[in-house]
Amino acid sequence: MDRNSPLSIRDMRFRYSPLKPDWTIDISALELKSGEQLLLTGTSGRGKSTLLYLIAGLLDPVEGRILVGGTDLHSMRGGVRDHYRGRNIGVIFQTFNLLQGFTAVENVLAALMFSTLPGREHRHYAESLLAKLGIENPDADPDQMSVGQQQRVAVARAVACEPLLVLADEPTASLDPELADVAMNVIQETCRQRGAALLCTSHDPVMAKRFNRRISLEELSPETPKR
Amino acid sequence: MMTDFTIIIRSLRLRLFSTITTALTVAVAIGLMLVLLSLRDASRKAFDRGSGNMQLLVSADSSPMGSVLNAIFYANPPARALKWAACQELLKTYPIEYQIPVQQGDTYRSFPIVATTPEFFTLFKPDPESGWELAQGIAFKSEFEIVAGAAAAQSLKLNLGDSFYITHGASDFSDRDPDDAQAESTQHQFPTLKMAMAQMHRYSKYKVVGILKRTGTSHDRALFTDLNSTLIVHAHQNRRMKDPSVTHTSAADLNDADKLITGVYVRFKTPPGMSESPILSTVYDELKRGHPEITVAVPAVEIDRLFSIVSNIDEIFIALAAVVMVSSGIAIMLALYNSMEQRRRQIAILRVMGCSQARVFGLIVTEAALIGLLGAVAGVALSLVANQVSAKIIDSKLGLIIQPALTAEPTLWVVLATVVLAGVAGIVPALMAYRTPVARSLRPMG
Repeated sequence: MDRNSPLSIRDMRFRYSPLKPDWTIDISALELKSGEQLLLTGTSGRGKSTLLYLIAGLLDPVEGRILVGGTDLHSMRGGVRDHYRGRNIGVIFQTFNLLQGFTAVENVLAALMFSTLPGREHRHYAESLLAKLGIENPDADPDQMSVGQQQRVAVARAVACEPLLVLADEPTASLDPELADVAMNVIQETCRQRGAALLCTSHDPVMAKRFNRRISLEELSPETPKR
Repeated sequence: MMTDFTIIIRSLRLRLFSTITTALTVAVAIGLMLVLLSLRDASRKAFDRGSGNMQLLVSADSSPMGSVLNAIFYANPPARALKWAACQELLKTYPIEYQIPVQQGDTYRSFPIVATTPEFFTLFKPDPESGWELAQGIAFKSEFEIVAGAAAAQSLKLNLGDSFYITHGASDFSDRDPDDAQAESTQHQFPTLKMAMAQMHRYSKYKVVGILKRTGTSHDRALFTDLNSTLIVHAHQNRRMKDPSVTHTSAADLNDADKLITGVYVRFKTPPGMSESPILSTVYDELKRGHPEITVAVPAVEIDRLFSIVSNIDEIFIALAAVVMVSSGIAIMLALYNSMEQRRRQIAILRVMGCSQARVFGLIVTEAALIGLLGAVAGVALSLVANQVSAKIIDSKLGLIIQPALTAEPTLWVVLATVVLAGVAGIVPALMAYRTPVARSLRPMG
C-alpha cells in the first residue's frame, strides 16, 4: 500500500445504465497526495456523491482505474474490498448516518470492528477520540445530542481506523452557517492531525475559502457530457 | 469492543415489540410441542406404573380393558362381583407369587375405597421399581381402618385419627351425619340420581391409621381398608334386610356368598431378571378359554392397546404443534422481512464501514436464529408451567396422576430444531440485506 498516494484516478468513466449514451462521471485524471485536502464543487445532481461511491468501491467504474493507497479497489472482490474500504477510507455523510440504537461510543466501536487495532484497546481508543472531539458523554444516545455533537461523532467514526482518505459528502449541508464553520474546523483539523487526505464535496460557495485546492467536477471531465 | 453479537442485540432491542411478539409466537409453539411430548410420555409412564408388578387381573367386568381401567385406574366402580373362594380355587394350580383380592364400589366423598388384604402393601408394588412407603402412621391391621393414598389424603385434608362413614356408590354427602343425609334425601325425594344411587354405610365409622407417600400412580387417590371391613358392612346390610333385628355382624358371620370381590391382582413366580412369567400367556389362554364367567386381562397388553388407540390422536396433536412451529418460523421471516425496508440505511452504513455482504447475511440469519432461541427458551419455561397446570387438570378431571417432566434429549432436539428453523426463516430477509444497494440506500447525498 502506498500511503503517499491516497487517491489516484485515471480515465475513469461511469454511467448507471449502458442504455444511456452519456457518462455520469468522466474523469481523465485526479490525484490526491498524503494529507492533502481537496474541495470538489459542482451543482446538485452532477454526480459528486456518485464519484465518492466509486472511490469507496461501492459502485464500479465502467472504464478506467481508481487507486486508493496505490491499490485498485475495484480489482478486489466481495469481502476483501469491503475490508480494505473499512481500514483505509472514512466516509462522512451529509445526514451523519449514525447507527440507530447505538450510543456515541458504540458508533465509533462499530467502525473499529474493521480496524487492525487489538479489540481490548477499542473502547479506550474510541472514548479518547470522542473526548478529543469534545464529546464529554460517550455513552449518550446520539439522538439526544445536538446536531453539532452528532457531526463530531460522525467525524470520529470516519477517522477511527486511521484511514488514508476521508470522503466528506456535503458534510455541512444540513447545518446552519455557524455550526457548519465549527464542523468543518473539526473535520479538517482531525484529518490534518491524523495525516488523512480529505476529499470534500460541496456546492456551498462559502466552503471554497477553507481549501487551498478546489476543483469542479466539470473541470475534471475531458469534455462536457452531452445532454 | 463491538462484536457482531452486539450489533444483533442492538437490532433486536431497537425493534423490541416485534422481537417480543415474534419470540412469543415461537414460545407458544415450542411450549405446545413440549407439553404434548411430555404429557404423552408421562401418561404412558403413569399407566405403566399403575399396574406395577402385577401380571394378570381377574375380574367379572365385561371387557379386559374395562377391567384394567376400573380395577387399577379407578375409572368406574366395577359392576359385577366374583366369589373370592372361587377365584382362589381357580388359581390354586398355578405357581403364584401373590393373588390379592380387591373389592371396590364404595367411596368417601367421591374418592374410591379399595378393600383388600395386607399383602396389597407387602407384595404388590404400584411401581415395578419401588414399593409402598408410609408418610405417616401404620398400615391397617384390623377392620375399619383406613390407609389413605397421598393425593386422596391431601385433597380430603385427612389426618391420622380422622374418622368417617363411607358410601356405596358415588356420593357428595358421605362426610355428613348419616341420619341428616338420609332425612335430606327423603325430604327432597332423591332429587338427583347421584344421591339416589348413594347409600350410606352407617354400620361403622372408618378411622385413618396411615397415610401413604406419593407413588405417582392412580393408587394415590384411593383409600385402602381391610377386605373384611367391606365384606362385613355389606353382609350386615344384607342380613338386616332379611332380619331387621340384627344389630351386629363380624368376620365370623361371613360365609362364602358374602365374600364377594371385584378383582384379583395376580403375579406368578418369575425367574430373577425377567419382568414377565414364562407361563403368563399359557395361564391367560387357559383361563380365557376355560372360564367365560370371568374376565382375565394382562394389564401391560391392555395399556399397550389403549395407547395404540390414543397414539393416532396424539400424533395429530404433535403434527399440529409442528405446523404451529413452522408458522412461527414464517412469523420470524415476516417480522425480519418487514423490518428490512427500515434497516436498509443501517445495513448500508455498516457496508460503508467495511462490513461485507456475507457478514451482513450472517448477521440477519443469526438474528433470526436468536429470535428462535429466545422463543425456544421461553417455550421450555412455558411448557414447565403448562405441564404442572395440565397435570393438575388431568388429576382433577380424570383422576390420573401424571408427572410430566421434560427430558433433556428431546427438549434439546426441539430447541435445536427451532433454532435451525428460525435460521432458515431468516434466509429470505438475509438475502434482501445481502442485496441492499448501498449507494441508493444512503440517499440523500449530493
